[in-house]
Order: sequence, then structure tokens, then C-alpha cells
Amino acid sequence: MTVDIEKIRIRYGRRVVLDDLDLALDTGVHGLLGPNGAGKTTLMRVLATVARPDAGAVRLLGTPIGDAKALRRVRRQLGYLPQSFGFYPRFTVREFVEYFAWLKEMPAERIPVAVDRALERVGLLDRADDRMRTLSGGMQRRAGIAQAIVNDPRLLLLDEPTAGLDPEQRVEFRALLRELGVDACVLVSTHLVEDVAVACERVSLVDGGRLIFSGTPEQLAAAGGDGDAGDSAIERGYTAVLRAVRA
Amino acid sequence: MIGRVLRSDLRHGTPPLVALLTAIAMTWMLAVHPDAWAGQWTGLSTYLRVSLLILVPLLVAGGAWRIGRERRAQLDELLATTPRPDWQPMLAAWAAVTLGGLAGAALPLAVAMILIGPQATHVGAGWWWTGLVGLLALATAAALGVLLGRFVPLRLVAPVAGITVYLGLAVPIYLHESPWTRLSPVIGHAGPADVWPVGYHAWQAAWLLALGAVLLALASRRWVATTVPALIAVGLLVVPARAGADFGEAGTDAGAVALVCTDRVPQVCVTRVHGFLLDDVAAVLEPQLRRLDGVPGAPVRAVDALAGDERADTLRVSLTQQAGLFGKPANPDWLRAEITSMLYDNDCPPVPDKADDADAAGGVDPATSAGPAASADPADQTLGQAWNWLQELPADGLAALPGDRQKEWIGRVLAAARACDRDELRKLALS
Repeated sequence: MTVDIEKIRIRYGRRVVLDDLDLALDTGVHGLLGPNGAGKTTLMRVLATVARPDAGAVRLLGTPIGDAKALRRVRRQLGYLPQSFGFYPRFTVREFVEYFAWLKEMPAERIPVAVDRALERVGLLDRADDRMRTLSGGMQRRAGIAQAIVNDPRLLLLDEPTAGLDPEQRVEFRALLRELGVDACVLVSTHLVEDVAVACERVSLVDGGRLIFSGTPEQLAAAGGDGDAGDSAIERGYTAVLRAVRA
Repeated sequence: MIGRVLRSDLRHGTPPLVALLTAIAMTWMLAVHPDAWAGQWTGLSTYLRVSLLILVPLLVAGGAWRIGRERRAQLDELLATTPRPDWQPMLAAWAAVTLGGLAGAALPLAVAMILIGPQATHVGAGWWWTGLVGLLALATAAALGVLLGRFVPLRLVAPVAGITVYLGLAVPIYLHESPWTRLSPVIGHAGPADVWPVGYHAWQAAWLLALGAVLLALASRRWVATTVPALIAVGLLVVPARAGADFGEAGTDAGAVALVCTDRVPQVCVTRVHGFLLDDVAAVLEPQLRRLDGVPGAPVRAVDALAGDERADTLRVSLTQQAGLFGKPANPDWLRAEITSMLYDNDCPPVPDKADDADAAGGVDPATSAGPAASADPADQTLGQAWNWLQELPADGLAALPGDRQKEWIGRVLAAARACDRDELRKLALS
């Protein structure tokens, strides 16, 4: 398994954010859904090795996350786009992605090609020499995705990656996700249920820090009925699962 | 790849700004006091060390600001997921700020060196040591900024650190006697012939290197790596503590104060370090000395005061503020007025009721050609008349006398002035 976490628990003060959560993911595109405050971002941060659980076990890429050596090995194969993504405004897009390739300890001789490839995949190759601050919000987000994929990660974590993308870009992005999911485990945390329906092979739903659903988008859609709120089958399934858990 | 990372850093953000500010500061420092370095290699390296009073705080502020870049860009979380140990990007940031500062200082210094090259008449031994320690100080300053920026996550840390370091460097300048001031790379006071032993430079270089390594190791939170440079730094601190007050005191470069003279009469001599001024200084002083020919007790030659020549027949001329950018005297009027120093620079006791005046002997500033201040005291009037004669200014009753009488009178005034004999000066007053 690329991601294998068992009964992890995280508290912020008295509030339990993740509560005995289990999750196992392998190669492919996985959606992570849940209402605001469900614990999605905290879970992403655990998988990104930024947050440490108070209890439970985390194995990423077959390696238990413990000592610094293991952490470094995993991070070389990790790509992460946080929800609030910052950047160096004066850097060009190419310099920005190059810098992250260096931080990810890619071999120096591979970096120029890898950077161009990442920029091409997100459709920013023609803007590679523009400064980051001159890009639109959507383009900056795509530059963020470029830095996340520049090292061809085996585990790619994208937190709200489609925020700021226009419909055409979202369609292109979904295609990119499918392409990336061939060789890597891609976990996409999003509020946009239709993105999950189109791009993901599997979907996990968290609420109150617990995993309340895990299955295919079709299985999630099937959980809903005509009486459930939502404009699409998967939205109705999403609402139905949440309502059932909260009942 | 580290080269590309450095290049990116040097092209954007803090390092180019540091380079610009350093270049402006260094240019300004060089421009306001060309006399301290023009035509003098040692003067330039020493003046770099004087300029550190401004440059070091700039580098400290630059280092602190640069290291806060990730925080300002809200990239902390993303960077925390990357495998490269955080001391490596931190070192790259430090190197970029240091290179920016060095590049900024190098440009005006290079222009100064181009100007000095054709003029300099003396190359002192070890002047480059003085400069090297200055450059090391800039690198250490950037390391201090990086450390402060890492541990104090506030935007204000950069300006506050810069101002604090400025004050911290300015204070020891006024504590010249303490050996602890040798820890500071800033030189507060130095003459054109001042040199320091190579051992002292080597000690300062080692101290700055060790301190820089400690600061960087602390900034990268590598506590074990801090140990060795910290022990070396502490060991180096013992040196000035044991050596006493004369540790690091400047000596005089014998080669710099050796005299270079005209081969004419009256003779004019300057020190070798001011050798490039000889022709222009002689052009001003020779006619004045010729005018004194036949005046009893008057000087027959003029010598650069830096040489310490105390002979009675010698006019001592200060050239420390005369070196101009292009090898010409910066203040020829001051040079012309130097001859009047015979009247006033005689260490006479303050005159009663004039003790508070800057020029107690006669109310004259010999550095200007403004002439003596009005005074009712006949002694001062005598000095004023002599001052005018020496300056070839339109004269009073003295001009009515025959030439040999004028010279005799001037000779008596000079003798009375040297003897601080104000009664005699009063007697010599011309109606």
C-alpha cells in the first residue's frame, strides 16, 4: 500500500480532529470529501509529514514514518499542494519550480527536463519565464501543482487543487490527474464532488475526524436517493451518507 | 544546481536590494571622504573598515529580512514537506545575501581602485589583510541577520537588528582604550600611515570566521555543529584578554612616512603615502617659503606633518585632508593657510577671557582664509597683521615699510608667537 494509516488520532487542545481514522490507498486517483471542519486538511497534513498524530501508525510508501532517514526517503517521493499555497512573487515560474525540484533533492542533471515537463503538464510552459506575481490566481495554482509533480512523486497530495481554475482548466486538470494516477497514488481533497465523480477511481468521505465512507464514486452515488439534497447522483449520495452517519 | 538556486536568489528579492543599498552606502562613504583613501591603498582598505559601521548593519538587516522570505510567502508548510535539510537552503540564503553585499560594496571599491592605481605612490605591506577582514565581517554580519531572522519571526526584526547593531558598533569607537573593542571589525580612527600587525589581522579573521560559523550553526539548529566553532571563538577571546590594552594598536608604516622631497630650494617634502601630491603642494608652498627668505627664524623648508619632523627651521604641513579624487589637493586654500600655523600652533596657554574660544591665541582659524577676528588686544592685532602679510593679503601699515624691515618685523612676531610672549606682541603692534 502507498498509504497505510491505522487508528490515527490528532487533538488540537480539547478538540479531536482525527479520531481513530484508518485509511489505505494504492496507486490511482483518490478523492477525499467531507464538510468543512471534517478533518480533511489535517489528514492531508499527516500524509504530507507536516503533522504528527498523537496516536496510531502511519506508513507511507511502505515506510513507517519515524526516524529522520525514513522521513527524508519518503519526502523525496512526495508531492504536496497545500490548501493555502504561497509563492515567491519575484521568481519566474521556472525558477520557482526549479527551486522546489532542488529542495526535493532531485539529481541536478534531471532538473531542467523535469521542470519543463511539469510546466508543460500544467499548461504553463509558455509562461515559464513570467514572474509568479504576474500570473492569475488559477495560473499560480497550476504553478503550485507543477512544483508538486516536478519530482514525479509516488504519493501526490493535492488540497483543493481546482480552486481558482476556470471550467476549461478544470477539465484539463482532471485529465492530468488521470494521467498522474497511472503510476502514483494521488489523493485529492476537494469540496467539488463532481471533480471526484469524473476524475477519481475511489473516494473517501470523512466527517468529525472519522472515515465514514470508502468506495468508488459509483458506490457513493448509489448511496443517495431521490429525496436527498444535491444536483447530481454523487452529490445526493454524499448528502445521504453524511445524513446517515449523523442520524 | 546550487549555482542556479543562488542565481535565482541573487536576481530577485533581498540580495539585489542588499547589493543596491550596499553600493549606495559605500559610494556615499567614499564620496564624503576621498581624502581618507584617494591615492592610498592602505587608506582604501582602512576606509572600508570605517565604512563597516554602515555596511554591517545593512547586511544584518538584509540577512534577517531574507531568511523571513518563506514566512512572508507563507511557504513554511510546503517547505516542511521537502527532504532537503533546512540548513542547506538557509546556507544558500546566507550566501546570496553575503554575495549581494560584497557585490554592492565591490563596485564602488573597484572604481576607487581604478582611481588609486595611477596615483598611488606607496603600497603598504598587508593592506589587503585589512580589507579581507572587512569582507569577512560582511559575511559574519549576514550570518547574524540570518540567525536573528530565524529565531524572531517578525518583520520588524530586520530594521531593529540593523539599528541595534549600528549602535553596538558605534559605541566601541568611543572606547578606544579597551582591548574588547578589537572584537569589532569597525575601525573608528586611523591615520594614513597606520598599519596593524599581520598577526592581529589573522586573529580578527579567525574570530570573525569562528563567530560566523557559530551563528550559522545556531541558525540551522545544529547544536552539535555549534560546539567546535564556539570553542574556537571562545579560545580566540582569550587572546585580547591576555594581551592587554595595546593589543591591536596600530603602528606606523615606516615606508609610508618616508619623505619624498623636491630637489629645489626651498625644499618641500611629503611622506611617500602622500607622494602623489608633491608637485601641487610644492607649487603652493615654494612661493610662500621664498617670501619668507630673509625672515629671521622663519622656516626654510616645508614637510608633511605626518613625518613627525620637529626641526625648528621646518614648516609642518598637514596633508591628511588634502588627497583629492584625481590626485590633486582637495583644499588648496587650506594648504595656502598652513603657513599661518607658525603664528598660532605654538601650544600657548589660553589667553584670559578667551579661554572658551576655539582659537584662544588670536581668534583666527588658520584653516580658513577668512582672516583674524577683530580684537581690541594689540597682541591679537599684531598677529592679525602678520597673518595678512603671510597670506599676501592687502596690507595695512606694514606695507609702508621697506621690504627688509617688513621681514625683520615678521621675524620678531614669529619669535614672540613661538615664545607665547603676548607682551612682546603688544609692543610690536603697528599703528
